[in-house]
Amino acid sequence: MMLKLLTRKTSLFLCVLMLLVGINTPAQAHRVGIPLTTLEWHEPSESWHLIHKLSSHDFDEVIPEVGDAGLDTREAQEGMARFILSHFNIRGTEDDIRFSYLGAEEDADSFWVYFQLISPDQDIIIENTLVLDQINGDDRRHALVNITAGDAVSTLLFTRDDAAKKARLERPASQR
Amino acid sequence: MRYLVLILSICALSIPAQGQALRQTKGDYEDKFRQLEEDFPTPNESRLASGAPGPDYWQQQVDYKISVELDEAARRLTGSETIRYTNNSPHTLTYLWLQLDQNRFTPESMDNLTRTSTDDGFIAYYNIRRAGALEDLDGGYKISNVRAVRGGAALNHTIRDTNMRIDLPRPLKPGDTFEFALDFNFNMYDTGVIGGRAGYECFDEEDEDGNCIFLGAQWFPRLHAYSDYEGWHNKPFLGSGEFTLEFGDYEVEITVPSDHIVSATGELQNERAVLTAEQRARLNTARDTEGEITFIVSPEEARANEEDVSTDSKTWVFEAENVRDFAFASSRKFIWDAMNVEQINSGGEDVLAMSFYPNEAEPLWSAYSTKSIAHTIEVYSRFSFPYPYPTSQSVNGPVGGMEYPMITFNGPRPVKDDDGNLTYSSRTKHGLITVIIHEVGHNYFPMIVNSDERQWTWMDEGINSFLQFVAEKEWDEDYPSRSGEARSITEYMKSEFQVPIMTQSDSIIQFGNNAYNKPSVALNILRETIMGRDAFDTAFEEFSRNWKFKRPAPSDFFRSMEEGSGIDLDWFWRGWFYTTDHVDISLDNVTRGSLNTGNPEIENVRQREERAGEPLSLTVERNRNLPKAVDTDPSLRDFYNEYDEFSFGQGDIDSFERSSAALEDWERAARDSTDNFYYLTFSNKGGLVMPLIVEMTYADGDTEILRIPAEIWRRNSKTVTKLVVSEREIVSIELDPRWETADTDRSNNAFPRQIQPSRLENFQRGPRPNLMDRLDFKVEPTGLTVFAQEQAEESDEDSDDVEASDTED
Repeated sequence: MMLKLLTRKTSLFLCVLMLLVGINTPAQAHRVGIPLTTLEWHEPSESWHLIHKLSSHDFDEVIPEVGDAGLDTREAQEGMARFILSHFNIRGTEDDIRFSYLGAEEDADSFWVYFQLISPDQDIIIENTLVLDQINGDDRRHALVNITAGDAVSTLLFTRDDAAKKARLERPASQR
Repeated sequence: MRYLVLILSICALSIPAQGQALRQTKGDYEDKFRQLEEDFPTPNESRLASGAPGPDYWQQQVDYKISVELDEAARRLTGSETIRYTNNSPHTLTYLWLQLDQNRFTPESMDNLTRTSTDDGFIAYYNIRRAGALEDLDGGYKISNVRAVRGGAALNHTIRDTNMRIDLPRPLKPGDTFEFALDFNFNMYDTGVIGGRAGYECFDEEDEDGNCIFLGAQWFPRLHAYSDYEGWHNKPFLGSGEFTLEFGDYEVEITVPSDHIVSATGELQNERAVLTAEQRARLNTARDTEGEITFIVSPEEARANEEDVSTDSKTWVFEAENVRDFAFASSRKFIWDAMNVEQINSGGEDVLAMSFYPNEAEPLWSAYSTKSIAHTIEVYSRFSFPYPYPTSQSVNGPVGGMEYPMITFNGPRPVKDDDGNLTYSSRTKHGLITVIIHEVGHNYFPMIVNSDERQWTWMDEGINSFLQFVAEKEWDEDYPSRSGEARSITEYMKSEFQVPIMTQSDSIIQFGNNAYNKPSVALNILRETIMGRDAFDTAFEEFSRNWKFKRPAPSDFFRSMEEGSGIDLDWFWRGWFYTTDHVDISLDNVTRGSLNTGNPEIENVRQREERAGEPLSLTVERNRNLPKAVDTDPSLRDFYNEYDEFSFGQGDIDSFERSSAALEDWERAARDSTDNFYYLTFSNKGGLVMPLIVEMTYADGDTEILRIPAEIWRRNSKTVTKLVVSEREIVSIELDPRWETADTDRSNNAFPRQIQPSRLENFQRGPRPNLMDRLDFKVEPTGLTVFAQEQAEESDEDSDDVEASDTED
């Protein structure tokens, strides 16, 4: 089976986890990470694709499992999954969101991390501290999430102090 | 009076309206090529229309003499400074503005008061910790004894957040100088907790030595810039927009514990007082050695230094000429290596490259830090001007990356493995090289080409990131850099919530993409795709040399690049720097046209063949066995039932020959052409106009690339059709095959259309398809996220060694 679906009735634990994970690494005034997440409706699979793009330079201390061998080990994939799950969370306000972690790959100086979500159209809350708390005190770090359904794109901005946003998951009108 | 009114009315009617000379009042035509001169500042004799500084260009000069002492135990800096301000402007000044950047680190600073929060109660521990640390820090400057040097009279001054205004005792006329002094102190902050660009880092974990690294930056009250285009650049410091400063000469005395090693802007003036004879000898060796570092303080010596804490102090004296700032670092943990750098390619003076780092940074730093400095100087000097300062330093401490004249702070370090050994990955190695190239590169932009960082972040970060990309690719062609490649910016450019590059620094949304990567990509596209390397490099070098040790504004850069290359780039600046449009050009359709020769012996035959090639009507096919009226009643048939519409007679041939005889030779040659005619229709979906780079694949398998300049969009920026004439038959066409233009949607770039799998689908199809599944992976971060019961059961069935959890959260 390709996908292992996860279920979340509540994100309380993950919220707590996000609070607990305080990773103290050096400030990066100018090695500005550029976390950019795309949450995109994928018609053929009738699911949402969740793709994180992260600067790989930032992660040696954060995900020690990802060493020179990169992401081709079980430990590295586990480390990446743990990291993402403790820094990025989507809560449905009406129904559970079922999602699966498909894996991650490295491309030049970026990590690409892939999830797949199954959710009805509903309002959601996204909590996102990706790269915002690893790099203490960098005022230039922002994380973006693009929610794309058909031609419509909505973009959410996350900062160190403002790391939770309300949004809506809604398939394109033509596919509802 | 009536005549006067009439005359005035006629005058009013005959004078064109100023400020809105061009207005599109009908239709939806968008002139993407509208010239920017109407938006740029009017050129004058300070800033010429060519983009170069003019004969009346001026800038202020500010010289500093500073004495400062580091109280290691209290983690406090205490100092006094004397500032000589020379008014080179043609204006009389009655007050001066100083920058008090340390005041940002108070709970009541504008930066802290204006930080926004989420509205659903979400708060992270790091924010709680930072707020508490700020309360405990007692941060910000304590300033006293602000006085004129001559006579010693106290000066009226007002502090507003990160700014201080000093009222001058008498107006400062053009060309005059005013000297004043003040005392200051402030508590340094724990960088790991509070952030910022300086502070300290202490190694006080159980297995560490307990010593600290201190970084002094934005540590003394500095003059704001006063310029011809903005007056005082006194926008408060909110943390993101960096610094706008004046050039000057510095004499700085830094008193630190006697076992500390100090790295600082400028050149050390009292080696005999602070270095041992052995260290001085090694330093001289380094000054004479190319390509190989010499340890001034070895790793073993640095480790020994960590053992004993001196209670004595030493004063290190540095001088720096024509710099816009001064920073330093101090620690007993420092290893110190150095190497001479000859500027052979650019013809500059030799530079002493030096690195300062703790043993925790080894073995990475001694291998790469100083050599990365040398590489940066070699590449950047070739593209701009010779590095003009005597030293260039790289310091490892708590700041990940920050630049000051002749000194940079760089963060990457190895990590400890399970055995406690320090190891580093390729990722960390390249991270270090990247950040050193970037920060040392900042010595050119903006430390020397002195742009206004607080206003236009792209002018330092963007231009520097572009040259960083160039330098990385000259380090190793396989260097894992992405920030300059067009493909690296497409996800960001699709974002809906973004701001133009030409946005004031504090309002920028996502610096990394907006101020670093997008301008870097834009300049790389200019160089590789639009202008060509020769034209770009010539204009860029000219801009850099013209504005070396001067203060350029964006329009100076834009104008310089056009003037130096002779290429109109207003459309490019307008689209990439002044809008949030993105690139998405669709190859909508390709139509093959044919030339009608008029020759019935050719055209009628061709038409018959085309008709024969059409599929038979389904109705006709299915009615084939039904009796037809014209068959059952032959009287219904006449001439037209037998007529072949493609047949022709001698009359048709004669007519064609007569018309042929009337043709000129060139008309006849054109008529007889056997070329293929293809009409390529493009639409602009993203808004940005860009060149059309078209790769045509012929029936014989050959390919050819046609590069059509962006000016094809000048009369219609939404859709254009291009005729391509080819002797050979084209079977497919791809737009932007080398991914040069940052096209955000490649699914509409090919004709015939090709299915473009998403990145995720590519991953699943790639060489590591669904690694998670192959590894039977489960995700249990502290037991909180687990598989659904039913899915776990399915996994059990599907996998041979699966270990899926059966719990839910």
